[in-house]
Amino acid sequence: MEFKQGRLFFLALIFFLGASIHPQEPSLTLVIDGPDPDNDYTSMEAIHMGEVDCWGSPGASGDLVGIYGKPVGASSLYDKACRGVLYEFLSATGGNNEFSHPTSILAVYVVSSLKYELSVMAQLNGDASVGLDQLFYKEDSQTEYIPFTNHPQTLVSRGTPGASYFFYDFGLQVEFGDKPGHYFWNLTYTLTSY
Amino acid sequence: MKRKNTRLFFGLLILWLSARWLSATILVSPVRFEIQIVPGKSDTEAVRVRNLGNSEQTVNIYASDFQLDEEGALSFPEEGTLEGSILPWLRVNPSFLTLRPKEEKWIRFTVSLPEDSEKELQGMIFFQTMPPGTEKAKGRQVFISARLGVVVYVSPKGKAKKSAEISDFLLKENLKDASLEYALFLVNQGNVHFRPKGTVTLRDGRGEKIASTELNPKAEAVLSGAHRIFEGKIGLGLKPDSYRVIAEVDYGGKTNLEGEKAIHFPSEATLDAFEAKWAIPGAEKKGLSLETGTLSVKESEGGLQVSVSAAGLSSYKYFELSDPPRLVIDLKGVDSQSFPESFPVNSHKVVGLRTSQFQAFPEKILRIAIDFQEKQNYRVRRDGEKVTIDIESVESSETGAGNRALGSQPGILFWATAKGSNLYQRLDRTLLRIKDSKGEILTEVPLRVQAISSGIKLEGEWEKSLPSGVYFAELAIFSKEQLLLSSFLKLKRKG
Repeated sequence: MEFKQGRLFFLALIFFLGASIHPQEPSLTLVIDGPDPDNDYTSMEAIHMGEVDCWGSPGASGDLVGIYGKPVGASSLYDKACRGVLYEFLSATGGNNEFSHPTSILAVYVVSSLKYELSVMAQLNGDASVGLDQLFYKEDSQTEYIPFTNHPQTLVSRGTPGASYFFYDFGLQVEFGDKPGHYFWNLTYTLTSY
Repeated sequence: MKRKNTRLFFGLLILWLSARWLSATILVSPVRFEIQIVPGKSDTEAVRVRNLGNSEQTVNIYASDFQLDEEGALSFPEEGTLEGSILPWLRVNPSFLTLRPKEEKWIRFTVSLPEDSEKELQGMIFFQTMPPGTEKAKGRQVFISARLGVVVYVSPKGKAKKSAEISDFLLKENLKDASLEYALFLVNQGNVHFRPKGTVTLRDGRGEKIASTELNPKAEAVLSGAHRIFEGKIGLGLKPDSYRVIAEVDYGGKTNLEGEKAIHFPSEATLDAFEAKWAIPGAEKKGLSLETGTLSVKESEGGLQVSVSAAGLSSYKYFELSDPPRLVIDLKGVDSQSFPESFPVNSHKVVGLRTSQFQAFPEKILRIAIDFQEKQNYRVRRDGEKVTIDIESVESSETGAGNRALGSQPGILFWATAKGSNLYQRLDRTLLRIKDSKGEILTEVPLRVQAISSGIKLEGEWEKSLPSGVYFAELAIFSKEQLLLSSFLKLKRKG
């Protein structure tokens, strides 16, 4: 019996090593996790921002919480320079870890054996009365929002090999001139090691 | 012993499960292929793709071109637009696949080279997850794809030729921290890519080594026929002396490359400003525009406009201080947390802005100091929670700031101010060269020289429509006997 258990242990060890490690074979792993409540990574995520309006209403439908709207280009909605509202989603800083990221929309997990490049690009589908650059992002610890573009924007240049986590907040600008409709941003996060 | 083994087994099992749980998404391996094949022949390789997630995934597989610009930035040009593309000679099968949770598959690809092939070709194979639910989406939604790129370099067997050249090496002083800044231009003249390694060494007048820095610490690639600019800083708190900066580059060829430049630090003359602006005749002048979430500085008619978004503002006051000249604005009820502590401007005689929490209790007071090079006229006004300061340049004719208009062509406006002992009297000639990212001289711009109270002001323009890219302006000021000052400026032209 003791011999059997020893063999079982040995087989389990081989299984564990065989299943998890491929020595001397460089690999890339990319995980993107959206604001879903399951505390787990999934590779196919969607972010439903709900029926936000251009008046900075604090409540919204959709899957997100922590929505805050502030005027665009003005100090208040009554300023004639105001174009609409920038909604910040989960824009508080910190408090994130690899399983849960309550203060940021996206958790990006990268594992690379070599130096790597991480970039993001966007495509807008649906009604054409809004601009692709009305969707913004920022690194969780930063304050400046950056508009998405249809060409790759570098997020990490020649990143250090190993495992790394990155957290991003989003902002959606809704302008007074926007027409009602359905707008879908497709974001592509690209990881490569050239 | 028996119990120990059982415990160890369960411990390992839990560790295995948690390790699997962590890696819940797509993985590819290997990540890079460097293949040598006989021209006219083909080679087949395979990439392992694995779904480490807990749900089924559809993965789209396709090939793409990639290129690296002179600063090493990666981009993916449209198919058919790039010379050196492997795409016409690359076949991937299948073009999509569905992976069950934890499932792994091998994807084969075949590359060949034309019989007359003399040079390495490259491309990327992408594995992109396809988000489900896009067809039923409503409202405003964002879908996410993870895309992994596997790089493929294919070179003709036995024909690899490594050749490189340092085409230029620029140097300038940084008086703020008494250091030197360099820009090294490297051209890959061979037919395969390389990842240069090397060092930049600083030696003083006696030849002793003062500092050394790694040239390409990130091991970035320089593609065949491409060029790269490596920029950096060397030395800190340098004492007045003559210095030599030596760059040694190992690109994998038979001998290393070496570049050397000498400089006297500090120079006899000092640059107060050296700036350039892209200008389009007839177009709206955009000029300087700096912005954070709470502060913005923009060029306006005859000066600058500073805007402060002051949430919670109840009242404000302002006053002037001298030595150095500055305008101080106290904003009551405003928290300093969302303001940058310093905000450099360096234009129109405004050095920059500084902010601090002047008072926290009983009422918060944010203090903003606007530092001037010399006293300026200004006007402060308030609109709700926004405070605007209009600054009128007193000596706008001396600052230049690119107010001069171009003729009928788009181009670049240059201006610089320099100071030094009897500089205007000692000045013999000036030289402003515009170089491309390979270090090749495109033109020499004649400069107009004017004596000003602190030294000299230089202005010039080049009426030329340039394509997008990186350019350098190299400035030198000579007396009859010697070089008084040299510097350079990087110019980026966006498409």
